[in-house]
Amino acid sequence: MEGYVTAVNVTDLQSAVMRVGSLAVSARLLERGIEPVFQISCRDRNRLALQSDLLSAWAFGVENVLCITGDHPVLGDHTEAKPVYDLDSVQLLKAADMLNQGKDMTGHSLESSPDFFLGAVVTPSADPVEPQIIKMKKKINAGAAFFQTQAVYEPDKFEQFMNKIQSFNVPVIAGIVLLKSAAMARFMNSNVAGINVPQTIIQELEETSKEDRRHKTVEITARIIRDIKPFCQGIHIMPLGWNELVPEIIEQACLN
Amino acid sequence: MSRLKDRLSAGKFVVTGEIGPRRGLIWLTAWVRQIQWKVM
Repeated sequence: MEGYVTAVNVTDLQSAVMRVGSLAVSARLLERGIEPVFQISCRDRNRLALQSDLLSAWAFGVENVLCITGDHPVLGDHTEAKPVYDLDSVQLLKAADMLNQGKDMTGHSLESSPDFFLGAVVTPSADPVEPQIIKMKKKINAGAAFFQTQAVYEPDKFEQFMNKIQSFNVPVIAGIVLLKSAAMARFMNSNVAGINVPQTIIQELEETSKEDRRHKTVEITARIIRDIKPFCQGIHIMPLGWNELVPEIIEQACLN
Repeated sequence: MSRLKDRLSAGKFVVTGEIGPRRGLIWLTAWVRQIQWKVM
């Protein structure tokens, strides 16, 4: 084992905030020998551009693609931007799967075809969770071969969710966002759909001094990972800039 | 073959990370260098 992660997701204008594009960054990661998971959202491109960008990604050597709908522009920093949503995430998966089969969305044949490893997202803590399960099934039928989840903080709920989707027989990589403070946890509870940080964790963070906060973040993250690991096929760590903590988390969570 | 696909297909447990590109390649490059994440 050379390092700590198998691949690195590259977000596509996450939270509808203007940034460098995920395709360029994915290509740069490949140059460094880091395997990217190219995230592509339906918010900013029509079906022409989405298919073209997928083929461009393949031309750069990108294999892993995570198809998402994308946050609406009203949530971002260009609130006047026009959302596209020509396709939704299920249709985008289907379009990418058709490219894999050598056809574009119109049925025209490609001169050569890519071989994308297609992924999608699901929110195990959604309440109710049934619509998530229905959409997950649709995504699998459209070509999703793996799933990454919204952040998980409740192992019991996650276990229940995994039991419900056991028959789908598809790998699920459980997401976890590093909690940097009690205020951040409360903000996520109030503003991010499908995330519920238990009060016990918020209290733990509140009772931790600023000097010990990083240590506490590692401890909490590793504990959650140990609790959910038996039920999933991988862990997706979203460090939000605290990248230097990842090795310690992996060690404490017994992932290496 | 994608290493991610390879490992998941083989039933091996995977760990993935995430970066959110920010506003500028210079800053981004510095950040990518800081990550020090390598590939299994």
